[in-house]
Amino acid sequence: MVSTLELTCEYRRSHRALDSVTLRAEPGTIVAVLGGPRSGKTTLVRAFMGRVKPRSGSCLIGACVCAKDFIGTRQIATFVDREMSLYRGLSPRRNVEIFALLAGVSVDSESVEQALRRVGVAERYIDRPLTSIDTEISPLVWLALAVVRNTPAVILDEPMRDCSVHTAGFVGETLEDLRRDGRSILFTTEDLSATRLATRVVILNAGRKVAELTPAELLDQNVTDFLSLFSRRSPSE
Amino acid sequence: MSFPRSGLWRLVHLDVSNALKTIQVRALIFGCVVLTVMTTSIGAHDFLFRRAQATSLIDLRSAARTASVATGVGIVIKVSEPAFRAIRFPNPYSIFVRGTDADSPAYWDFGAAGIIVGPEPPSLEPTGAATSVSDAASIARILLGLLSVMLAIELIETQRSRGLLPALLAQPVRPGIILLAKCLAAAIVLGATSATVMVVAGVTVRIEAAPLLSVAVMEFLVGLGLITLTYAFAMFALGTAICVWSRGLGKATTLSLALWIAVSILGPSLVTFVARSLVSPEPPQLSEDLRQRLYLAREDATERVLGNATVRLLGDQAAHISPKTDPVVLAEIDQIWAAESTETRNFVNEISDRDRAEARLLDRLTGWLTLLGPGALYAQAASNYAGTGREAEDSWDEALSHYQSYLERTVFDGRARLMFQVPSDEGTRQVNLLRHPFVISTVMDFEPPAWPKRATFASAFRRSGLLGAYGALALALGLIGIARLRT
Repeated sequence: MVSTLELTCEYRRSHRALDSVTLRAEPGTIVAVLGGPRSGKTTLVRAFMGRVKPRSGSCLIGACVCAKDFIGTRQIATFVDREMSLYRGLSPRRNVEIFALLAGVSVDSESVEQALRRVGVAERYIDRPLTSIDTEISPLVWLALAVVRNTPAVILDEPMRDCSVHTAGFVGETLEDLRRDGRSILFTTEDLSATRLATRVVILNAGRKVAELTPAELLDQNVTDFLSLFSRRSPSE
Repeated sequence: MSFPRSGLWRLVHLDVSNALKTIQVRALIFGCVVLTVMTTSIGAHDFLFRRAQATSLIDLRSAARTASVATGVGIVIKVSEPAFRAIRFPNPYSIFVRGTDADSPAYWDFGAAGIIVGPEPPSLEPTGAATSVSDAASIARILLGLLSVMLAIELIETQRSRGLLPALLAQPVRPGIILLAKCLAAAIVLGATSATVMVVAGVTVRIEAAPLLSVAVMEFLVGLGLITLTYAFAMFALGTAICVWSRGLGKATTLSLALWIAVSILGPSLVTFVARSLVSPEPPQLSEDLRQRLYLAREDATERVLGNATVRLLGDQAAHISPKTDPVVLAEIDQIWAAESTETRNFVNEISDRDRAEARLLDRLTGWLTLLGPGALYAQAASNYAGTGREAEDSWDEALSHYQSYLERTVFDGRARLMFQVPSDEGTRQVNLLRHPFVISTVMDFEPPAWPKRATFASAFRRSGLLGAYGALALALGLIGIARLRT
């Protein structure tokens, strides 16, 4: 289970990136964190990665305290951050093999290939260096790693950003697959349509959680109420 | 969780292949090899030329000595005597580490007024100065230094800006393991380059001057390769610390290149410049001139004193003085001479002592300043290992000083022959007192300083240890920085 309780993070004393955010993603659920730019989405993912220390509150993956147990959180969660890149000179297969090896998971070539196919990497791309592949398939390769590693939690920062519709579709399908496998999935997005995948949608605005809804409830909101969720008010106001 | 060793080696393998794919790294390795061939070739020819020059000096000294022995004439020395000349043969390791070997005097002369420094030997080396890029060690210092810094930029900063380092840090792997993999990758690339450079240097000597390539030279190249690797690794560690702590590829590159320029290119020259500007020692020629002039003045004064004393003691007989003269009188003259010559010697020694004190201060200051940068440390470690550095110079100075003392005791202050003017009614008359005709063949030859191999190793590896300490300190900084990157 992935959860935060009254999580507050500050970059500087003057800039509160997250303000008392509480959320949880149970096993077998997908939580989408929806918010605009500078709403605190990336800070939330970084808090789970232990890259941002909470000023107050807690941030847990399973029983691991994210800010303290760096290795433990990484053992039970697969992180996909926007900053992360693969070995560009290697094929998707080799990348998955290497990152799985680093995670201490022994994988055979067969299971890597299956995972890559499952997430939607075309067979012709599996053994080609990433530099020679036109299509952006990095999110799919990271998801294949999540499949291979079989971690109970998967946390992604805007996995569908800058993806083609085709790739975004594969990402969505894979997340749904992983949910069915009983994983706790949390992803951030600025794209309203991406929230359809989620079991619950948490809306962040200027670092504060302003709503937690189901995708259906979100779509049922009238326009004025919906827009008011994203109005430019600081949390202190 | 224990990290699988195969994972570590996979990371190392990826880092090595990534590094070798970059054009800068390839160009620098190629540059190291090509320039090593060129400098070693020049060094070998220059060594042979300087050795031929030294051999001709030996022949001249032998001729002078033979002439002196044949005539059996005692030596009257006020300035210097070519038969006592100490000739310095070039060091064969100066082919690889020029150090100060080609810039040290070709010979030294000994005289009553102290040691007279001879000229630098003629050289084929095109640039001349000791700190120029003139040998394999300088090439390694500059180009391997740059290669180390480029590796740090490539393995740390480029990977960070491309997102590979954040991806690695998002895996359940300790940052120390990631840094260890990068260090091992750098050590492999730098080690292979150092080894290639040394092999190329050896092969060049084999082609250019085959008889010079002995087992000792090959052993020397192995040791030099190890010192070079330690230096290169220390530079990599410093580059890593800079890359980890500076945010942004541009900033990291600028700072790393500034480090390289300051440490690898300017380091040794800066140390010499700062030390000399702080101590400002008297130029040796001025000291020599001063010693000569003072000595001659004192000796004139001594002769006057002696002349007056002789006249006082012997009166009219003074003009006819001979060894057979009254022993009591001669003993008294001896005493006066001894007192005066001791005073003259003290006078001259005062200047020599001042020079030595300045040199010691300069040495100490240079030693301390050298600790400030791996570039200067490497230059010193390599030159001491080759016996072309400060320690070799010190041992030469010590040997020369001993020989000078020996000559003072046995020849210069031995009252071998006295010539002085005595006042008389007819003006002045010259009196010769030739009691102990000195034959040059009885003087011991100058013994060049032995430079024990073990001491050379010890000295060089003491400095390499300091280079290692630099590397360890920088790596510790890098480790703290890389752990900070994760947070």
